[in-house]
Amino acid sequence: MHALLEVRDLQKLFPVASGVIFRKVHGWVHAVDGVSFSIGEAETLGLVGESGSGKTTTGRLVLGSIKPTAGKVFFEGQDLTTMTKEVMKKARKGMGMVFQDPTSSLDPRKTAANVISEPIEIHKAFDQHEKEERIVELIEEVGLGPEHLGRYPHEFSGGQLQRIAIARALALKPKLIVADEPTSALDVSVQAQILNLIHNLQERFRLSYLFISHDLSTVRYISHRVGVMYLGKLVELARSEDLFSNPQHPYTAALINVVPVPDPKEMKSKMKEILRGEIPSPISPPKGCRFHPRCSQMKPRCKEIEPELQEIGKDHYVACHLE
Amino acid sequence: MKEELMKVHGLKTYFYTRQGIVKAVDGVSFEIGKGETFGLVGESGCGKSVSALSVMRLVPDPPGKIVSGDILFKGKNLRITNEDEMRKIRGSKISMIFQDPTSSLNPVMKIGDQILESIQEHQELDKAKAKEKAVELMDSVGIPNPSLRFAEYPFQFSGGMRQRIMIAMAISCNPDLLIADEPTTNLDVTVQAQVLDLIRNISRSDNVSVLLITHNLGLIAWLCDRVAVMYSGKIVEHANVEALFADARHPYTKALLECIPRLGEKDTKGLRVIAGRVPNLIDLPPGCRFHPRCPYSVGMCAKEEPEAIEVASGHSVSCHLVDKSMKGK
Repeated sequence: MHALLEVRDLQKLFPVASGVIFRKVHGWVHAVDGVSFSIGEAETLGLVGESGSGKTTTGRLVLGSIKPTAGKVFFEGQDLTTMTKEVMKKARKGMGMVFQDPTSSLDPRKTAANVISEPIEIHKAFDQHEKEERIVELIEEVGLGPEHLGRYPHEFSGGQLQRIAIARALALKPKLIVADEPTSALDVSVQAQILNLIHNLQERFRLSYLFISHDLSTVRYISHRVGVMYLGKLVELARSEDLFSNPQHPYTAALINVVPVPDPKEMKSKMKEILRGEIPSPISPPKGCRFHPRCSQMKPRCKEIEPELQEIGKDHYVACHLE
Repeated sequence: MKEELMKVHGLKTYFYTRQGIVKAVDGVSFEIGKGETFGLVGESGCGKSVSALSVMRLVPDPPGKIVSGDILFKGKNLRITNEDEMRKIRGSKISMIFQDPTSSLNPVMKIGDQILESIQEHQELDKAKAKEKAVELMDSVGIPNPSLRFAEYPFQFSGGMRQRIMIAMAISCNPDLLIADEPTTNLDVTVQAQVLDLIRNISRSDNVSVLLITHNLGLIAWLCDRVAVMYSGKIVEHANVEALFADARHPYTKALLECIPRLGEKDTKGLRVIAGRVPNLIDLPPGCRFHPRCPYSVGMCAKEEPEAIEVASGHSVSCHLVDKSMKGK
């Protein structure tokens, strides 16, 4: 598969500073620490992890909204990390994004039409007539009608707002959409509608997605391949079926084990082993394998040597010392 | 069901707003047995949280008001109990934990002092004894180094640890009933599992009844003995947890179960979608409240409100079609 997006050894450190005038840096948050993956055309890569695992930062790095400390991001073969602002602006037309909470990602004083046309205006992509046609096309594409265009965000429900946010992301006919928890703020019945929409749009426009979520069931449903993040590292990356039926990393297995499923019998057998402890601070991540303090199968070398991501089967990568 | 602890009958809680009367809870009845975990599940706006607040008599008045119904707790009707007595019951006999522990804790007060406060409010203990008890409680809910962390502030605790503190406070007076309103919605899945496991252990070892309020059917499947599904202020289905998941009868319950993505299988046909949206609570549809969105709806559904029909022992459904045309579908 031709890679639309390629991310190599991406690293992002945020300074921990104190003082108002003389800022003194006394530590670094290792938000993303050496992450590599690629996304093919019309492919969905899911990124799962708990809070602080670096999944959102990875999304922002891919979009170029923050600069990486180290590493490369190639989009359609071009290196985004070395681009000037002007070139970057052009390259960004190929990417859209959808955020978690549509009530805060949409301007309350703009009508749906204004919201959707914003990217078109920034990039001066169409003339006035084309723009109007495009806006109507977009709002219909996401399952709303032209009668909704003149309304303001407060007149819509959460699910409808997320549809408008998706229409905005689609405005410039992007190839890649970064969706950061797009259904987490929605009720289950509405969540299903949005997931179906995201899925259908992919089939229609051959879109690629970087789908970021903490909800494993959602990621399982929407993704072709899934990457599991823990403390800034990708610990496992595999095709969705393989990852969920045959998880290799102890963290992935533990994570799958604690997902509540609507089946009382299954829950009774699943919840016997619950992963203990919490994610350590990303300011001073544990030495060696970052998961070792919580791992039930920890070996001495896990404390010392950091495991590399290695291919153990077709398209199945794991960073773990255990056989 | 075991010995009954609480019986809520015909509860109606309305909010009187300028736009009209919001019928948040409109005729809800359920019982909770001793040591039992009872779940109320539904989407936002279905009235599950208001039901819990009504039980605690914590509905903000105005604009809210418990219009009618009985809340019998150990034979006492909490709806007509006076405020002084209610204060004694809250936190000692019935206690509650909320979704967001960060906003439930005082940020400028030491964790230990906050636990002490809840102990001393209801129990005659001197400071040293109370402190000893607070440390014991922190230990029992799984806080490492409790005597050290006693003197720390909420910001020094993680979200999961804060929720553990809330639980410690809630069980400090050995309540009969613990109400947990979306207790793990803000937590990561691994921490969620830990917190829920803690609640389950408390319920089992101390025979505490739990009223669990959640939108997540997976949590219901894990923890609850019995469950009621709410929609637009009404209970539409009420059953043992096994019966609900194996044999859901109400169209809304069925649809809700089908629209959740599952871990095990990948369905290429797409997820089931419930058409339309939850009705406005001020202007409710006549008849069955689910009928505008229901694929099976017939003429009668728009006219008459369905009564709860018992389809099996302990399993009741409020739907006109429950024993007729829906069979086999």
